[in-house]
Amino acid sequence: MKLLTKINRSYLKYGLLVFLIADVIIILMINYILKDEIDQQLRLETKEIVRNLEETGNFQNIYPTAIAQKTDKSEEKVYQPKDTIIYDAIQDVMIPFREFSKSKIINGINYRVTTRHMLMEFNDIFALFTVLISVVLFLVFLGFLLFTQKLNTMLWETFNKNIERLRSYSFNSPSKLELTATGINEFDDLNHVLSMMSSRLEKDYTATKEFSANAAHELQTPLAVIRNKCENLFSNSKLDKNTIETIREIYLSTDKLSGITKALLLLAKIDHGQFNEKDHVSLNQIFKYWINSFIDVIQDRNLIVSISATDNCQLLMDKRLANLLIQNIFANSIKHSNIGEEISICLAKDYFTITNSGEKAINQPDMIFNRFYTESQNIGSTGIGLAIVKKIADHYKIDINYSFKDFKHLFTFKLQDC
Amino acid sequence: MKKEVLIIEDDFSLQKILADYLSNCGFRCTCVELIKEGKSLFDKKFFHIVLLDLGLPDGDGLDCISFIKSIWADTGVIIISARDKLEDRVDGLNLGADDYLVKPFHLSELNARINALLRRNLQPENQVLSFGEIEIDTFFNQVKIGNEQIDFSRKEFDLLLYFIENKNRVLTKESLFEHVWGENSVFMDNSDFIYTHINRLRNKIKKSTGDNYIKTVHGFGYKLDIH
Repeated sequence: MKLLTKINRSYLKYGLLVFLIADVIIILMINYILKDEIDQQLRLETKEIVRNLEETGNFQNIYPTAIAQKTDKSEEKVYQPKDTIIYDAIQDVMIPFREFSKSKIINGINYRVTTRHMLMEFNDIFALFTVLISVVLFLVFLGFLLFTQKLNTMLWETFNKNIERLRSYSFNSPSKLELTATGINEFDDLNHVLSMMSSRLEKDYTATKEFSANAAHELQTPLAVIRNKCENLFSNSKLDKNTIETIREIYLSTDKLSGITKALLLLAKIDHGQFNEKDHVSLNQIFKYWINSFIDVIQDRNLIVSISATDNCQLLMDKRLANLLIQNIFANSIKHSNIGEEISICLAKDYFTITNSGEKAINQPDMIFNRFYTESQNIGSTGIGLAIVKKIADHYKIDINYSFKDFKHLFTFKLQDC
Repeated sequence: MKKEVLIIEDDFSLQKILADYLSNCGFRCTCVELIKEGKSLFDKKFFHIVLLDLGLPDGDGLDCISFIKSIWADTGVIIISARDKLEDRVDGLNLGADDYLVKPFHLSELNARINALLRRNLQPENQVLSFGEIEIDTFFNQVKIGNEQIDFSRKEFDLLLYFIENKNRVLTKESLFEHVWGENSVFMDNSDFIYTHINRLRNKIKKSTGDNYIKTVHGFGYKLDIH
C-alpha cells in the first residue's frame, strides 16, 4: 500500500472516530446544559406556586404545566426532575414534557406541586443543533483530509521523482546517479546515503569488472609466451620421448588454461550485462548457420543432423549471446555423439529441443550445467560450455531441462516471452 | 630485400619470441614497448607490417592505428591482443587494422597472416608460392604439381598454403586445426579429425609426386619437408 493511501486511510479511520466522539460529547453537553436550564426554571415556577399557596391558600391549576394537588400523604419531598409523556387529546398525540414535583405541607394541608415544560420545541432545536454541529464538524474533517492529501502529494513529489530515477538507474549507464534535493532533511539524508552507496557500489562494480577483465587479459600474454616457447621446442629433434610428452602436456594445458580464463571472462561479462542489445533472432537460422560451420566435423564423424521446425522459433535477445548459446549446445551434442549417430533438432514456437545418442545416462544429471563439471576424461573438455549455455539461458529466463531416455540425451529449452 | 616488421608490445618475453621467430622467417624486426616510441619511428622509416598490442603502458594501441595509416597507407597493421573479438575485434578493424590475432596465438598462424597481408599488395604474377614440385597460386587459388593442375577443396588448399608458408617447421595439430577451422576448433576434440584431413592431403600430393611431403613429427604434429 502506498504511504499516502495509508496515511489517508488512517486519517479517515481515526478522524472519523474522533469526530464521532466529539459529536456525541458536544450533543450530550448541550442536552445537559439545556435541560439544566429548564429544570431551574421549573424549580422557580414551583417555588412561585408554593408561595402563592402559602399566601392565598389557593392556586388555579393550569393543566398540564402548573398543578398543585392535595394529597393524603403527609411528607415533604423534592423529586428529581424527569422526562415524561402526556397524551394530548386534542391533537391525539403523545407530547414529551420535563417534569418537576415537590411534596410540601402548606398551612397544614398536604400538597404535591408539579410543574412541567413542554419539550417539543426543545427537541426540535436540539435536533437542528445536532445536525448543524455534525455538518460543520464533517466539513472541517473533510477539508483537513483534502488539505493533508494535497500537502502530502506536494511533499512526496520530488521523492517519487527520485525513486523513478533510482529505478531506471543501472551500473552500466554512463551517467552517474543524480537525485534532486527535496528541501526536506529526512529525504535529503536518504538521497545523500543513496548517492554515497551507489558511488561506492559503482566503484566496487567497476573494480570487479576490471579485475576479471585484467585477470583474463593479462594471463594471455604469459600463456602466449609459454605456448610459443613450447612450439619452438617442437622444432628441436634431439628430444627423448619423455620430454616430448611433457612438452606436449604443458602445451595442451596452456591451451586449456587460456580457454578457461576466456570462458570465465565471458561468463562474468554476461553477468555484468555487457551483452544487452536486443535483436529479433531466429533460432532456425542460427542453427542452420552452425550446422554449416561444423559441416566438416559432422561429415568426418558421419553424423546425421536433422532439423525439424513446426514454427519459426523467434527470440528477442542479444544476437551474440544467441549465437553462443546455440554454438555451445550444438558443439556439445557433436562432441558427445558417437560416429554415425543422429543429432536431431526440433524447433517450435515456444520451445526447442536437441537430442543426441548416448550409451548411458550422465552420472550426475543435476551437475551437468555446473562450471568445470565434466564426465569426459578428454583433456580438451573443460566443462564450461554447458555452464555458458546455462548462464545465457538464465539471463533470458529460458528453462533448460535435461533427460536421458531410450539411449538419447535430450535437452529441452522452454522459452518465456522474451 | 627483407621486409620490415615493427613490434609494439610491452611484454619483453613475447617481444623477444616474436622477433626471434619472425627473423627466422626472413623478416627484419624492430621492437618497441611504447606507442610514443613507435610513433617516432614512422617518420623515418616504412614498415611493411606493424604488430600492435592494445594494452600498452602509455595508452591503448587502438588510438595509434589511424596515425600509422595516415603516414603509410600501405603498412599492414595486425592487432595482437588478449581482448577477444566480441568487442575489440570489430573496433580494431573499423579503425583500419588489417587483421586481428587473439592471444595466445600460434607463431605459425602469425606468419601465415603476415604473409597473406603482404601478398595483398602484390601483382597476381607474384602471388605464386612453390615448394619442391608444388606450385600454389594464391591469387587464382590453384595448385599445380609438376605442371599439372590438381583440384583441391577449399580446406585442403588452406592447409597446403599453411604448410608451405611454414615449410620445414613443425606445425602442431592444434595450430593446423585452429588455422583451418577457426574459432570452432575450441569446441572439438581435434586429434582424429585433423589426422583424416592431413592424410587426404598427403595422399593427393603423394599420388602426383610419389613422395611423402608431409611428415609426421611424433608427439608434436606435422612438418612439410622434402627429405
